[in-house]
Amino acid sequence: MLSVKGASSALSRTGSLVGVVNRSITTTAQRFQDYQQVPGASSSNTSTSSLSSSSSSSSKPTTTTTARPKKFTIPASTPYLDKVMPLHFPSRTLREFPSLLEFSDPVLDPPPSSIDRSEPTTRTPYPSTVTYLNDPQHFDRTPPSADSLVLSASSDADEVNSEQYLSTVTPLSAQEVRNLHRHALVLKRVVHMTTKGKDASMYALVVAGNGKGLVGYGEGKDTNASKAGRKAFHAAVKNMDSVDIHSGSDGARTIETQVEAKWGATRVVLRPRPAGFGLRVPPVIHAICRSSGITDLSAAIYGSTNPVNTVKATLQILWGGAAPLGMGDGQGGKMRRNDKGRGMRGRVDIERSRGRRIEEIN
Amino acid sequence: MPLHAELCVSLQNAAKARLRSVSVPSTKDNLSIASILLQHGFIHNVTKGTIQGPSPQEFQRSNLASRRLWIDLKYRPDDRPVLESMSLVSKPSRKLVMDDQELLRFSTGRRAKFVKPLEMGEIGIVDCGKMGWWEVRDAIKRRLSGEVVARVS
Repeated sequence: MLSVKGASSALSRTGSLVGVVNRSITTTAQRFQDYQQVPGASSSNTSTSSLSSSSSSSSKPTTTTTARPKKFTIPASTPYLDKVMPLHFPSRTLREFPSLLEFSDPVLDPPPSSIDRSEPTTRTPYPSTVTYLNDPQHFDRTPPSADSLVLSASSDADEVNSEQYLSTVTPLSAQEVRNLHRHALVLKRVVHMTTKGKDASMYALVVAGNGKGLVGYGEGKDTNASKAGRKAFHAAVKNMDSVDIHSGSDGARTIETQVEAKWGATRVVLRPRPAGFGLRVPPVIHAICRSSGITDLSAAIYGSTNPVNTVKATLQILWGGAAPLGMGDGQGGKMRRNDKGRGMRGRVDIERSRGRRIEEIN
Repeated sequence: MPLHAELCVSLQNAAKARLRSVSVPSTKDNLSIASILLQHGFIHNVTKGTIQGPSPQEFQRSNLASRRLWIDLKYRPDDRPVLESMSLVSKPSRKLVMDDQELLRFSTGRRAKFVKPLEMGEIGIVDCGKMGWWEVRDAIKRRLSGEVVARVS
């Protein structure tokens, strides 16, 4: 079974895969070092090398990726690459373009350690490749540090210092947490009906952002409204994700293109606008824009204007959905509604996938 | 006579099914549209062939009915297709011809001829008759006008 082989060999090498995930900032040199190691024989794999070699005995890579010379990577900008579309292709221009056959790009190509290859057998006559790209299912989460455990103790909920706690569980510093935008959009009383009567508590929905491209939302419940708000703020900061903001030459900070999304009965349409236009948007979307750093936008909500669903629809657009094809990862994980939708595609993303710069005319 | 819609639908379905290559009827219009897609990075290869497969030699030898164009599709590392959607603008039920002013409005986010404008990242394909087939922005540069056949994103 190809899938079982792939899974077992991946799990047996969990140690190395954790290393790949936790290394959020790597230098190009470090990444190139990775490529030069043969999969299953790297230093971090020595403890599980026996397991991996037995399970992946038939999955030696047939290609000689590690033998290719690693000279250079795709430059971010050169006179020839900056043209929208070269109309002539003299040999001098062609030679300026780096050949992708000669080297692995640290961003575009996955490292060999996260690729499982299987050779054809009598039962399965086709070779297969499985590539693991930051899949949370296959990576162990880092265990919480002692500081964060102490600070998040629920018995001391009154004395939890948000800045201290959040700086232990996120890469933010206490100063950065203090400077975060914080908008409480929903604060309401919710009731849990039990045999003994109504068990009321307060529900809060908070949107948090750093005003420079990070925004997230969180929900919190507690008998006390302020505690619920604090819980929601913590959840929001932990859920922050980046937003692609188009910085126009006229100083506009807006989205790239008109997008719409639907969440339940709520349909949200966001339209980019030029500098000086301002945020002419409904209040819930206004809070999200302020927190993320968007300064010029036009938006409308059609259908239901429920604030919870509006937040989810708007963030589905701004964060950009990551829905796996076929609704579900095929490895035993259900599709989550939050992952649905394509959302906004960034300009760089589109340019990279096509290999062309996007042309704008006025 | 195959409609332009057949090309649009074939490419979309092939992209969703994540096929490596797809064959479409071999016509001048299809070849022109495919070459614009190739120039703009939506596909990575166009080959002449027959129903059996891509092969320029077989294409020359075969009869007109068996001739096909084979288009190789591109996919991103996260398994999404580069050519995600391709839809008609000018349909047989309602033909749309735009002059260069209207094409400029169409490509810069303003309405023209009651059609949704192009967004960032979308391209439009225009049939300018004797002047050939062009992408909308290239047609504007050359001050051409024509039938806006398809939008691709």
